[in-house]
Amino acid sequence: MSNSQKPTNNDHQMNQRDETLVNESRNGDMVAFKELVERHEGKVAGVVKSILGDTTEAADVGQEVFIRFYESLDKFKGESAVSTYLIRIAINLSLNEIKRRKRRNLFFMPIEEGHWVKTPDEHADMKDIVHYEISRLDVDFQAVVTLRMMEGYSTEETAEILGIPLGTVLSRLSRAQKKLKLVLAKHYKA
Amino acid sequence: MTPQEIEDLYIRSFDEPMTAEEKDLLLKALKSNPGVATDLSNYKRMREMLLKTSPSTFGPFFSRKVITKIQNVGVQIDRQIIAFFKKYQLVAMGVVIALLALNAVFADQLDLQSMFGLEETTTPTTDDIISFDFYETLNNDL
Repeated sequence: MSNSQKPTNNDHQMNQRDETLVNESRNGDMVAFKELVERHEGKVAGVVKSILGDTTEAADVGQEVFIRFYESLDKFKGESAVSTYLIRIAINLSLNEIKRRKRRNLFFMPIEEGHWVKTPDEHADMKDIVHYEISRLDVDFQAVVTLRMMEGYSTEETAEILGIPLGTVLSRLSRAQKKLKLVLAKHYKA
Repeated sequence: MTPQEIEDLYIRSFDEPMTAEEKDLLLKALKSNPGVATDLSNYKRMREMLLKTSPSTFGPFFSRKVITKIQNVGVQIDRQIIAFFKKYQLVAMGVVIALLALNAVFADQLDLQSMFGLEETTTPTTDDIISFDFYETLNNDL
């Protein structure tokens, strides 16, 4: 994750090490794959927890991300960095989990959207309120807000990870922030 | 500039590189609209609040749990088998081609059947089997 667009020397070394570990993992070397998991756990956890909250499902999704990556090692051609590839899987699985929860709640527990992030009470601080409101955003907006505003990826990196044009990232960011501002204004008034 | 235009430019300033002209325009607009500036500063607060500073983790032994799960579902075995066969796939293909070539060389005919060792064999028909009378043969022998 970097806000500058030019890859640094450190990024290059990281990518080279990742490439070596991916090749070793392809040959069934589990020690190499374990190192890959350890190297990227933080980034994946950041994204998954930002979307799903610090829940048991988040850890399950985290495990699933790496299992999917392991299963698709042969398909991974190295066109993007390992971290980008993993974050893409993490975003997709997290958003799928949200959709699954929404479907489940629709049939079994009709509760308002965004309930999986604890509804803030009157003592909640602003950060909790913002997190709650983000969880109520449409999934496409959530993904952009999570990557750009919470995880600090650049707009270019966010576009690459999500596979959408830069202009779409910018417009979604703008609309999401305006939405957040409106709902936060209500909290302030209350 | 209208408050709406100032807001759009202000939000853009977080995510897009701006020209010196745009920066200047925004600064001037914010100075001349103190009410809008205060209102917009909430965006900055919101973004600063959201940006994570501490690294996240899935808890202790996460990597070990992932490896165990992979081993339990048998993905690793599949991968090792694939890796083994991948290593020897060229050799195996060479052996198969050599055997086919040998078959072709030693066969009387040069066709696919003889290459694969599929020689024509005659099998007794049902009539042949039925027409064989065991008792008659036995009586004749006696």
